[in-house]
Amino acid sequence: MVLKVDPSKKWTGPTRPYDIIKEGVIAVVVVALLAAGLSLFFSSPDEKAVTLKSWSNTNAPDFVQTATGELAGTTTSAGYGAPYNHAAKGPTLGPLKLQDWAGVRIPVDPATSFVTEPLAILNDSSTNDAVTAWKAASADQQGKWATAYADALGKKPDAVSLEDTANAFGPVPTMISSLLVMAKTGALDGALTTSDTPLPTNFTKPLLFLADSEGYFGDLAAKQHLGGDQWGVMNETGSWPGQSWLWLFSLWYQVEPFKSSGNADTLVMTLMGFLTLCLALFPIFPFIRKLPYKIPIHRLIWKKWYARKL
Amino acid sequence: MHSALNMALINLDHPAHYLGIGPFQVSVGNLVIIVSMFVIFALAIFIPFPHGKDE
Repeated sequence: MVLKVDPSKKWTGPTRPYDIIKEGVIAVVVVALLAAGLSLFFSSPDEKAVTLKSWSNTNAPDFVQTATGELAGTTTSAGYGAPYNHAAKGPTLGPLKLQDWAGVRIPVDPATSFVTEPLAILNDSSTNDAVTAWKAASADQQGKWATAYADALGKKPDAVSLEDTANAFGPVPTMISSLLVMAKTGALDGALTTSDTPLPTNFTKPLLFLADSEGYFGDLAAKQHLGGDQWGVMNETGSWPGQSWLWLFSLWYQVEPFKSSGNADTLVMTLMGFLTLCLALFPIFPFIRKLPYKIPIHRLIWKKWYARKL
Repeated sequence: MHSALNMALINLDHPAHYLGIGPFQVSVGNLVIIVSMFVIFALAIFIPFPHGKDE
Protein backbone atom coordinates (compact mmCIF):
# COMPACT_ATOMS: atom_id res chain seq x y z
CA MET A 1 0.00 0.00 0.00
CA VAL A 2 1.44 3.38 -1.01
CA LEU A 3 0.32 6.41 0.98
CA LYS A 4 0.46 9.63 -1.01
CA VAL A 5 0.79 12.81 1.01
CA ASP A 6 0.46 16.32 -0.39
CA PRO A 7 2.98 18.40 1.60
CA SER A 8 1.06 21.61 0.89
CA LYS A 9 -1.96 20.44 2.88
CA LYS A 10 -2.36 20.48 6.64
CA TRP A 11 -1.79 17.14 8.38
CA THR A 12 -5.14 15.63 9.32
CA GLY A 13 -3.88 12.24 10.55
CA PRO A 14 -3.33 11.18 14.15
CA THR A 15 -1.17 13.32 16.45
CA ARG A 16 0.39 12.75 19.82
CA PRO A 17 1.86 15.08 22.47
CA TYR A 18 5.65 15.29 22.44
CA ASP A 19 7.87 17.11 24.94
CA ILE A 20 11.34 17.36 23.37
CA ILE A 21 12.80 19.16 26.43
CA LYS A 22 11.61 16.42 28.76
CA GLU A 23 12.93 13.71 26.43
CA GLY A 24 16.27 15.51 26.02
CA VAL A 25 16.73 15.86 29.78
CA ILE A 26 15.88 12.21 30.37
CA ALA A 27 18.31 11.14 27.62
CA VAL A 28 21.16 13.24 29.05
CA VAL A 29 20.57 12.00 32.61
CA VAL A 30 20.29 8.35 31.57
CA VAL A 31 23.44 8.49 29.40
CA ALA A 32 25.38 10.32 32.15
CA LEU A 33 24.37 7.72 34.74
CA LEU A 34 25.22 4.90 32.33
CA ALA A 35 28.63 6.40 31.50
CA ALA A 36 29.50 6.97 35.17
CA GLY A 37 28.16 3.58 36.22
CA LEU A 38 29.86 1.59 33.44
CA SER A 39 33.16 3.38 34.05
CA LEU A 40 33.10 2.02 37.60
CA PHE A 41 32.83 -1.50 36.22
CA PHE A 42 35.07 -1.28 33.16
CA SER A 43 37.34 1.79 33.63
CA SER A 44 38.78 3.18 30.38
CA PRO A 45 41.92 2.84 28.23
CA ASP A 46 44.93 4.71 29.58
CA GLU A 47 47.81 3.43 27.50
CA LYS A 48 51.22 4.82 28.39
CA ALA A 49 52.52 7.25 25.75
CA VAL A 50 54.98 5.90 23.20
CA THR A 51 58.03 8.18 23.12
CA LEU A 52 61.44 8.34 21.52
CA LYS A 53 62.78 7.51 24.98
CA SER A 54 60.74 4.32 25.27
CA TRP A 55 61.64 3.38 21.69
CA SER A 56 65.42 3.87 22.12
CA ASN A 57 65.47 2.04 25.45
CA THR A 58 63.34 -0.86 24.20
CA ASN A 59 64.76 -1.35 20.71
CA ALA A 60 67.97 0.67 20.31
CA PRO A 61 69.08 -1.06 17.06
CA ASP A 62 65.81 -0.12 15.37
CA PHE A 63 66.22 3.48 16.56
CA VAL A 64 69.78 3.60 15.22
CA GLN A 65 68.78 2.17 11.83
CA THR A 66 65.85 4.56 11.52
CA ALA A 67 67.94 7.60 12.50
CA THR A 68 70.55 6.62 9.93
CA GLY A 69 67.76 6.27 7.39
CA GLU A 70 66.72 9.84 8.19
CA LEU A 71 70.23 11.01 7.25
CA ALA A 72 70.21 8.85 4.11
CA GLY A 73 66.77 10.15 3.10
CA THR A 74 65.29 6.66 2.82
CA THR A 75 62.55 6.81 5.49
CA THR A 76 58.82 7.26 4.94
CA SER A 77 58.79 10.85 6.15
CA ALA A 78 61.81 11.72 3.94
CA GLY A 79 59.85 10.63 0.87
CA TYR A 80 56.36 11.59 2.03
CA GLY A 81 55.69 14.79 0.11
CA ALA A 82 53.20 17.44 1.22
CA PRO A 83 52.60 18.83 3.79
CA TYR A 84 56.19 18.12 4.93
CA ASN A 85 58.35 18.26 1.80
CA HIS A 86 58.37 18.07 -2.00
CA ALA A 87 59.77 14.52 -2.19
CA ALA A 88 56.61 12.97 -3.65
CA LYS A 89 53.30 13.90 -5.25
CA GLY A 90 51.37 11.85 -2.69
CA PRO A 91 47.85 10.42 -3.12
CA THR A 92 46.02 11.39 -6.29
CA LEU A 93 42.51 11.01 -7.61
CA GLY A 94 42.85 10.60 -11.35
CA PRO A 95 44.38 13.86 -12.57
CA LEU A 96 43.75 15.54 -9.19
CA LYS A 97 46.97 15.82 -7.15
CA LEU A 98 45.11 16.31 -3.89
CA GLN A 99 48.03 16.13 -1.47
CA ASP A 100 50.49 18.01 -3.67
CA TRP A 101 48.06 20.86 -4.27
CA ALA A 102 47.58 21.31 -0.52
CA GLY A 103 51.21 22.45 -0.44
CA VAL A 104 54.11 22.15 2.03
CA ARG A 105 52.62 23.75 5.15
CA ILE A 106 54.70 22.01 7.85
CA PRO A 107 58.24 21.89 6.40
CA VAL A 108 60.19 18.93 7.78
CA ASP A 109 63.59 17.84 6.47
CA PRO A 110 64.16 14.64 8.49
CA ALA A 111 67.99 14.79 8.43
CA THR A 112 67.94 18.33 9.75
CA SER A 113 64.81 18.27 11.92
CA PHE A 114 65.34 14.87 13.58
CA VAL A 115 69.15 14.66 13.74
CA THR A 116 71.36 17.72 13.22
CA GLU A 117 69.12 20.34 14.89
CA PRO A 118 68.64 18.34 18.11
CA LEU A 119 72.36 17.48 18.19
CA ALA A 120 73.19 21.19 17.98
CA ILE A 121 71.89 21.71 21.51
CA LEU A 122 74.13 18.96 22.87
CA ASN A 123 77.17 20.37 24.68
CA ASP A 124 79.67 17.81 23.45
CA SER A 125 82.73 18.73 21.37
CA SER A 126 83.01 15.46 19.38
CA THR A 127 79.31 15.63 18.50
CA ASN A 128 79.58 19.29 17.54
CA ASP A 129 82.60 18.51 15.34
CA ALA A 130 80.69 15.66 13.68
CA VAL A 131 77.71 17.90 12.93
CA THR A 132 80.01 20.57 11.58
CA ALA A 133 81.70 18.02 9.28
CA TRP A 134 78.30 16.79 8.13
CA LYS A 135 77.06 20.29 7.30
CA ALA A 136 80.30 21.13 5.47
CA ALA A 137 80.03 18.09 3.21
CA SER A 138 78.21 18.05 -0.12
CA ALA A 139 74.80 16.41 -0.39
CA ASP A 140 76.39 13.66 -2.46
CA GLN A 141 79.03 12.97 0.19
CA GLN A 142 76.40 13.02 2.96
CA GLY A 143 74.38 10.47 1.03
CA LYS A 144 77.40 8.19 0.59
CA TRP A 145 78.27 8.28 4.30
CA ALA A 146 74.72 7.68 5.50
CA THR A 147 73.98 4.97 2.93
CA ALA A 148 77.22 3.14 3.71
CA TYR A 149 76.43 3.19 7.45
CA ALA A 150 72.81 2.14 6.84
CA ASP A 151 73.98 -0.78 4.69
CA ALA A 152 76.51 -1.85 7.34
CA LEU A 153 73.87 -1.67 10.09
CA GLY A 154 71.53 -3.70 7.90
CA LYS A 155 74.08 -6.53 7.90
CA LYS A 156 74.27 -6.44 11.72
CA PRO A 157 70.67 -5.80 12.80
CA ASP A 158 71.45 -6.04 16.53
CA ALA A 159 74.22 -3.42 16.47
CA VAL A 160 73.80 0.10 17.85
CA SER A 161 77.18 1.36 16.53
CA LEU A 162 79.88 0.12 14.18
CA GLU A 163 83.59 0.73 13.78
CA ASP A 164 84.49 2.65 10.63
CA THR A 165 87.26 0.32 9.50
CA ALA A 166 87.04 1.35 5.83
CA ASN A 167 86.73 5.08 6.60
CA ALA A 168 83.40 5.13 4.74
CA PHE A 169 80.94 6.42 7.35
CA GLY A 170 82.33 9.95 7.96
CA PRO A 171 80.76 11.65 10.99
CA VAL A 172 77.57 9.54 10.84
CA PRO A 173 78.42 6.99 13.62
CA THR A 174 79.28 9.77 16.07
CA MET A 175 76.08 11.68 15.25
CA ILE A 176 73.85 8.62 15.54
CA SER A 177 75.47 7.44 18.80
CA SER A 178 75.00 10.89 20.32
CA LEU A 179 71.40 10.98 19.12
CA LEU A 180 70.84 7.59 20.78
CA VAL A 181 72.18 8.96 24.08
CA MET A 182 69.84 11.96 23.79
CA ALA A 183 66.89 9.68 23.00
CA LYS A 184 67.56 7.32 25.90
CA THR A 185 67.54 10.15 28.42
CA GLY A 186 64.37 11.72 27.00
CA ALA A 187 66.24 14.82 25.82
CA LEU A 188 65.35 14.13 22.18
CA ASP A 189 61.61 14.10 22.96
CA GLY A 190 62.02 17.52 24.56
CA ALA A 191 64.16 18.84 21.72
CA LEU A 192 61.69 17.80 19.00
CA THR A 193 58.53 18.95 20.80
CA THR A 194 60.00 22.38 21.58
CA SER A 195 61.84 23.04 18.30
CA ASP A 196 58.99 25.17 16.92
CA THR A 197 57.13 26.26 20.06
CA PRO A 198 58.35 27.21 23.54
CA LEU A 199 55.89 24.81 25.17
CA PRO A 200 56.02 21.07 24.36
CA THR A 201 52.67 20.97 22.58
CA ASN A 202 53.66 20.14 18.99
CA PHE A 203 54.24 16.40 18.56
CA THR A 204 54.49 16.40 14.76
CA LYS A 205 58.23 15.71 14.59
CA PRO A 206 58.51 12.96 17.24
CA LEU A 207 55.43 11.26 15.75
CA LEU A 208 56.88 11.35 12.24
CA PHE A 209 60.18 10.02 13.54
CA LEU A 210 58.42 7.22 15.44
CA ALA A 211 56.30 6.33 12.43
CA ASP A 212 59.49 5.85 10.39
CA SER A 213 60.41 2.95 12.69
CA GLU A 214 60.13 -0.32 10.82
CA GLY A 215 60.35 -2.48 13.91
CA TYR A 216 59.30 -0.97 17.23
CA PHE A 217 56.31 1.20 16.31
CA GLY A 218 54.78 -1.21 13.80
CA ASP A 219 55.14 -4.10 16.24
CA LEU A 220 53.36 -2.14 18.97
CA ALA A 221 50.46 -1.44 16.61
CA ALA A 222 50.30 -5.03 15.38
CA LYS A 223 50.19 -6.41 18.95
CA GLN A 224 47.19 -4.20 19.72
CA HIS A 225 45.49 -4.99 16.38
CA LEU A 226 45.68 -1.34 15.37
CA GLY A 227 47.25 -1.88 11.92
CA GLY A 228 45.34 -0.81 8.84
CA ASP A 229 45.20 -4.43 7.64
CA GLN A 230 43.84 -5.58 11.02
CA TRP A 231 40.64 -3.49 11.02
CA GLY A 232 42.69 -1.21 13.27
CA VAL A 233 40.49 1.84 12.72
CA MET A 234 37.72 -0.01 14.58
CA ASN A 235 39.83 -1.28 17.47
CA GLU A 236 40.88 0.09 20.83
CA THR A 237 43.88 -0.78 22.98
CA GLY A 238 43.39 -3.62 25.45
CA SER A 239 40.01 -5.37 25.39
CA TRP A 240 37.88 -2.25 25.37
CA PRO A 241 35.42 -1.87 22.48
CA GLY A 242 36.54 0.55 19.78
CA GLN A 243 34.94 2.57 17.01
CA SER A 244 32.67 -0.08 15.54
CA TRP A 245 30.74 2.54 13.56
CA LEU A 246 33.79 2.86 11.27
CA TRP A 247 33.34 -0.72 10.04
CA LEU A 248 32.58 0.24 6.45
CA PHE A 249 35.63 2.52 6.17
CA SER A 250 37.77 -0.25 7.66
CA LEU A 251 36.28 -2.98 5.44
CA TRP A 252 37.66 -1.51 2.20
CA TYR A 253 41.23 -1.61 3.53
CA GLN A 254 40.93 -5.40 3.91
CA VAL A 255 40.01 -6.14 0.26
CA GLU A 256 41.56 -5.56 -3.13
CA PRO A 257 42.22 -3.27 -4.91
CA PHE A 258 42.38 -0.99 -1.86
CA LYS A 259 44.46 -3.38 0.27
CA SER A 260 47.57 -3.24 -1.91
CA SER A 261 47.12 0.28 -3.27
CA GLY A 262 49.47 3.04 -2.21
CA ASN A 263 46.60 5.38 -2.93
CA ALA A 264 44.13 3.53 -0.64
CA ASP A 265 43.18 6.52 1.55
CA THR A 266 42.02 8.57 -1.42
CA LEU A 267 40.23 5.63 -3.03
CA VAL A 268 38.42 4.67 0.17
CA MET A 269 37.40 8.25 0.98
CA THR A 270 36.14 8.73 -2.57
CA LEU A 271 34.14 5.50 -2.45
CA MET A 272 32.66 6.39 0.93
CA GLY A 273 31.78 9.85 -0.37
CA PHE A 274 30.02 8.24 -3.33
CA LEU A 275 28.13 5.80 -1.09
CA THR A 276 27.13 8.65 1.24
CA LEU A 277 25.85 10.57 -1.77
CA CYS A 278 23.85 7.51 -2.81
CA LEU A 279 22.34 7.37 0.68
CA ALA A 280 21.41 11.04 0.50
CA LEU A 281 19.86 10.50 -2.95
CA PHE A 282 18.09 7.34 -1.80
CA PRO A 283 14.59 8.60 -2.83
CA ILE A 284 15.52 9.15 -6.49
CA PHE A 285 16.87 5.69 -7.31
CA PRO A 286 13.99 3.71 -8.89
CA PHE A 287 14.76 0.29 -7.41
CA ILE A 288 16.40 1.28 -4.14
CA ARG A 289 13.60 3.61 -3.12
CA LYS A 290 11.20 0.65 -3.27
CA LEU A 291 13.29 -1.36 -0.78
CA PRO A 292 11.30 -0.21 2.29
CA TYR A 293 8.26 -1.86 0.74
CA LYS A 294 10.16 -5.12 0.33
CA ILE A 295 11.96 -4.88 3.70
CA PRO A 296 9.32 -3.11 5.84
CA ILE A 297 11.26 -2.50 9.05
CA HIS A 298 9.48 0.84 9.38
CA ARG A 299 6.21 -1.08 9.72
CA LEU A 300 7.61 -2.69 12.86
CA ILE A 301 8.44 0.72 14.30
CA TRP A 302 5.01 2.16 13.40
CA LYS A 303 3.15 -1.12 13.84
CA LYS A 304 0.15 0.43 15.65
CA TRP A 305 -0.40 2.90 12.85
CA TYR A 306 -0.19 0.27 10.11
CA ALA A 307 -2.34 -2.15 12.10
CA ARG A 308 -5.02 0.52 12.30
CA LYS A 309 -4.75 1.39 8.59
CA LEU A 310 -5.10 -2.25 7.56
CA MET B 1 47.98 4.03 35.77
CA HIS B 2 47.72 0.27 35.68
CA SER B 3 46.90 0.04 39.40
CA ALA B 4 43.94 2.37 38.79
CA LEU B 5 42.79 0.18 35.89
CA ASN B 6 43.07 -2.92 38.01
CA MET B 7 40.75 -1.29 40.54
CA ALA B 8 37.92 -1.53 38.00
CA LEU B 9 35.55 -4.38 38.84
CA ILE B 10 36.05 -5.84 35.34
CA ASN B 11 39.61 -5.37 34.08
CA LEU B 12 39.81 -4.94 30.31
CA ASP B 13 43.49 -3.94 30.27
CA HIS B 14 44.69 -7.13 28.62
CA PRO B 15 45.07 -8.32 25.00
CA ALA B 16 41.73 -8.57 23.22
CA HIS B 17 40.19 -11.68 21.71
CA TYR B 18 39.36 -11.53 18.01
CA LEU B 19 36.91 -13.48 15.89
CA GLY B 20 37.22 -13.66 12.15
CA ILE B 21 36.28 -15.35 8.91
CA GLY B 22 38.36 -14.60 5.81
CA PRO B 23 39.02 -10.87 5.60
CA PHE B 24 36.46 -10.14 8.32
CA GLN B 25 37.79 -9.67 11.82
CA VAL B 26 36.14 -8.20 14.90
CA SER B 27 37.14 -7.92 18.54
CA VAL B 28 34.89 -9.48 21.15
CA GLY B 29 34.45 -6.02 22.71
CA ASN B 30 33.18 -4.55 19.44
CA LEU B 31 30.97 -7.59 18.80
CA VAL B 32 29.34 -7.20 22.22
CA ILE B 33 28.55 -3.55 21.44
CA ILE B 34 27.16 -4.38 17.96
CA VAL B 35 24.97 -7.21 19.28
CA SER B 36 23.83 -4.97 22.14
CA MET B 37 22.70 -2.31 19.66
CA PHE B 38 20.56 -4.86 17.79
CA VAL B 39 19.11 -6.13 21.08
CA ILE B 40 18.25 -2.59 22.24
CA PHE B 41 16.69 -1.85 18.83
CA ALA B 42 14.55 -4.99 19.10
CA LEU B 43 13.55 -4.17 22.67
CA ALA B 44 12.62 -0.62 21.65
CA ILE B 45 10.29 -2.04 19.00
CA PHE B 46 8.64 -4.81 20.97
CA ILE B 47 8.49 -3.46 24.53
CA PRO B 48 5.46 -1.16 24.84
CA PHE B 49 6.05 2.40 26.05
CA PRO B 50 4.47 3.13 29.45
CA HIS B 51 2.40 5.97 27.99
CA GLY B 52 2.76 5.13 24.32
CA LYS B 53 -0.89 5.32 23.33
CA ASP B 54 -1.60 7.13 20.06
CA GLU B 55 -3.99 10.01 20.13
